[in-house]
Amino acid sequence: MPAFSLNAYVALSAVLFALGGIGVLVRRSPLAILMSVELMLNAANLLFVAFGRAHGGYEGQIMAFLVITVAAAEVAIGLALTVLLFRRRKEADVDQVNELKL
Amino acid sequence: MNVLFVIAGLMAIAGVLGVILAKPPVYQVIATVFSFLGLAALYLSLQSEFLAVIQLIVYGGAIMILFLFVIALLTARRDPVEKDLGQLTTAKLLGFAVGGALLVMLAVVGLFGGEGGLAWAQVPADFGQLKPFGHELLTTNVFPFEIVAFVLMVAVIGVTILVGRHRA
Amino acid sequence: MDLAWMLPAIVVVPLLSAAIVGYFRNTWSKTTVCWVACGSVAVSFALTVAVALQYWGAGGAAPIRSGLTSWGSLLELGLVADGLSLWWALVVTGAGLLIHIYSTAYMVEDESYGRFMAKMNFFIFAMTLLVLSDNFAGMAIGWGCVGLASYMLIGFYFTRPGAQNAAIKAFVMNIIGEAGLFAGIAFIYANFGSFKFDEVFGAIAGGQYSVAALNLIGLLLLIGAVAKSAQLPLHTWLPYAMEGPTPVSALIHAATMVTAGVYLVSRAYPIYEVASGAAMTVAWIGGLGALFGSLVAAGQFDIKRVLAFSTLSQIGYMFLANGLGAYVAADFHFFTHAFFKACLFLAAGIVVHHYHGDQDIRHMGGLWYRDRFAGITFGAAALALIGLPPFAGFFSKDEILLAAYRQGQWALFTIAVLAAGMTAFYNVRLFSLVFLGDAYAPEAKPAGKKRSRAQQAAAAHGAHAHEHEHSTPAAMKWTVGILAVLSVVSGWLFFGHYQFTALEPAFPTLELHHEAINPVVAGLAVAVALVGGLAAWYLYRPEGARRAVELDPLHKPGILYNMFYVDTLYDVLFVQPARALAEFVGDLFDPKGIDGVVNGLGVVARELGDVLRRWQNGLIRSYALTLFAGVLLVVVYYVLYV
Repeated sequence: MPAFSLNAYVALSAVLFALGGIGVLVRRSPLAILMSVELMLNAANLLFVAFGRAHGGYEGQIMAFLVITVAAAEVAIGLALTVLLFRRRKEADVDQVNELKL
Repeated sequence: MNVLFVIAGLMAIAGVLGVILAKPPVYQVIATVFSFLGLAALYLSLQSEFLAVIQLIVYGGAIMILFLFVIALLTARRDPVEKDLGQLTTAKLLGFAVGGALLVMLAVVGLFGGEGGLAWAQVPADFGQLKPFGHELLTTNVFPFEIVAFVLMVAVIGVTILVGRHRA
Repeated sequence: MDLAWMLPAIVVVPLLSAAIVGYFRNTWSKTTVCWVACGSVAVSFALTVAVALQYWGAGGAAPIRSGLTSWGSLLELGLVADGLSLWWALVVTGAGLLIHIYSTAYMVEDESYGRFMAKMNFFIFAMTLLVLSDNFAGMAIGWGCVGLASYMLIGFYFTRPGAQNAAIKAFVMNIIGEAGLFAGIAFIYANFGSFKFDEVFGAIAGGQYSVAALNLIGLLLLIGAVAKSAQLPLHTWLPYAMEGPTPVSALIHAATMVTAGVYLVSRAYPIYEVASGAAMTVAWIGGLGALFGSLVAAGQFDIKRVLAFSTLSQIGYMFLANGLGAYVAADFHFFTHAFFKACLFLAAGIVVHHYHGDQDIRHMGGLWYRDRFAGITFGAAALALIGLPPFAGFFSKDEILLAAYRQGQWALFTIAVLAAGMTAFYNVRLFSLVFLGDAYAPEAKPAGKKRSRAQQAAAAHGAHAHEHEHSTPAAMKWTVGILAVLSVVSGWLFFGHYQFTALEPAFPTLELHHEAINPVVAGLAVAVALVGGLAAWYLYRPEGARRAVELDPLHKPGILYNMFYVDTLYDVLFVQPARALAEFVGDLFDPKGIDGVVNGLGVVARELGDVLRRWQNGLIRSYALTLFAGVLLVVVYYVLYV
């Protein structure tokens, strides 16, 4: 039996998620943004596992497992794009990449 | 156990804060790993041993290495420091504001919600071990498993196409 | 033989002709147009005569009825031929036919010949509908249509702003009348539950009414009659209506349309028999109008305006008679007046033809020596108008005076007699200025300067050219001649009391007096007329003093010419404020207010778009911010409300 109540885990997950969000909004380097996204995914994973444990089944863990895998794939692609960006511009600043607009 | 949970939680939070606040990218990577460690400890407290190990291996051992390689690749010749890092621009302010609000809201929800009174269920002793986990994964959830494998393959191919240099 | 089908035909044939002629007016030749147009009126006239013969042949016992159309049970329009409606229909179609034939010659040079004929036909349709209807609603429809016809025909020369304004003026003033008329008819329906004459008058005869309600109805209907008949105080449109072609003035603004008010009061006589207050109002409006019209006519210089005010005055006599309960006298005067007034107008048309459209009598003179025919016809009709025996007007006017005399209405009687004197005055003045004396010779340069022989010759030639010798077309001559003859003889119906036998069946509840000529009244009327005529002769004979004064180009006309300034008064009271309001709305309120709001919406949308456009800036972080803000909102919602 875990020592703390479920609420603690939920609150912790929430905090991690929000802080990761701040990281996404505040940093300008694409690497930092990607890392922040990873941390947000981790927060979600924590939530999954906690509730899975509360229900007593394996669904939560399996879901977290799948999330980790997909996160790995996504990071790979994201880094590839960052590399491309860096090749083109010699510096990585997300604010300079602003052509995706009407 | 309580103390360990608190320490683990603090590690996780510290890691994220480090990502936000640190300047050099390598420091950010280290902070992220730190956070992963804390999270792994939390998984352990939830009796998900296998997942904790997977987290360390895949996240810490693969993804972060990938980050480090890219950092090395891109900033070989100079010191990659972001411009106007310390300045409080409007965007930053807004980001802090929204994010902070979200944090507060979610924390409140987390702490004071849950009238359903979800309690921890009773689980068998081998909960979270490799064998039952694997059994569940490859029987009940084999379909998503296969799809995720497919996703990984697509990612690899994609990366190759995107970044692989084409020599004539 | 059942002739009931003829009634709708009388009304519908001119309507069809109007539509057809209007449609083909540019493809058909003028001859075809005139045959179709005049033919349709001739058909109407013939049918009216046939119905009349049947009706009066049977002693006027049973009115001939026919249905026209119906709109559920609320509105059943029908036509009836009884004494009164047939009497009017005969005049309308008969005089209408003569005037149509006259117009074929008078309007022959006009390009819009077909349009004119179509509109005249439309008028005949509307007027016959008005007089032949058997219910107030149908009559109101006809009323509105004659107003429309009047508008179209007054403004026939639509390129002239004077004509346009006159048409609008006539129409607007008639709308005031129609408001009263419709209100009155609404009250009739409210009180009696029906529009049909039979049912309404039957209810009145049965005693189911309140005197106050009937007085109100009578006054409201009177408003309509006053506007349509150009009586005081809604008369100001009539002189301007003379902007229309002369046949129009003859048909609509002399013989028939303006008498619609008289028809209305005569038809609604059961109401006025009970509502004595309304009836006296009718009489006084008529009496004052008679005097007013004759006074103002004596100060006018446009030949058609003199005749217009003369019409006002004579219809005043008819209103006077109607108000005093002498409906037969009123209708008889309508009958004779239609002929001599139409004759006067058409003869005036011949006169104006001589002067190439110049209607100013100061530019005429001595026409008697050049066109004897015009002089004779004009003179005969004028004598009828003055009311000298044995001309027609004498008999009909005498009856009216007699009615006033018999009822002891001394004030009205005096007014009527004075008006008779003034009638003689202005008629003699008019005849003298147009037909007698020297021909008008404009002085090109002020006297004193020697003019070269060439200039003198040119001036003389110009004077001659001014009264261009124009042989009058046969159509015009014949119709005017017929009308002149009728002006003389139509009064002689009196000798057999035919007008009574004809009209009596329409007034079943009245006891009508078959009067002989009262020598006192008749003598007085003739004497006063002679006095007035001689006074005018003294002033306006070729050597007359007043004549020289008025013919002087520098003479400034006085109060009579300005129609007692009633027109100016209305202008200040009503027209100027309305125009100011229209200008305010049109120049200020609409462009700045309403357009401002509408444009403002556009401006707001544009500015908003401008602001929102900056949101799509392509920056990832800003998009992420938006995303997070949305999540935040959802969380807030859940926290607060769930």
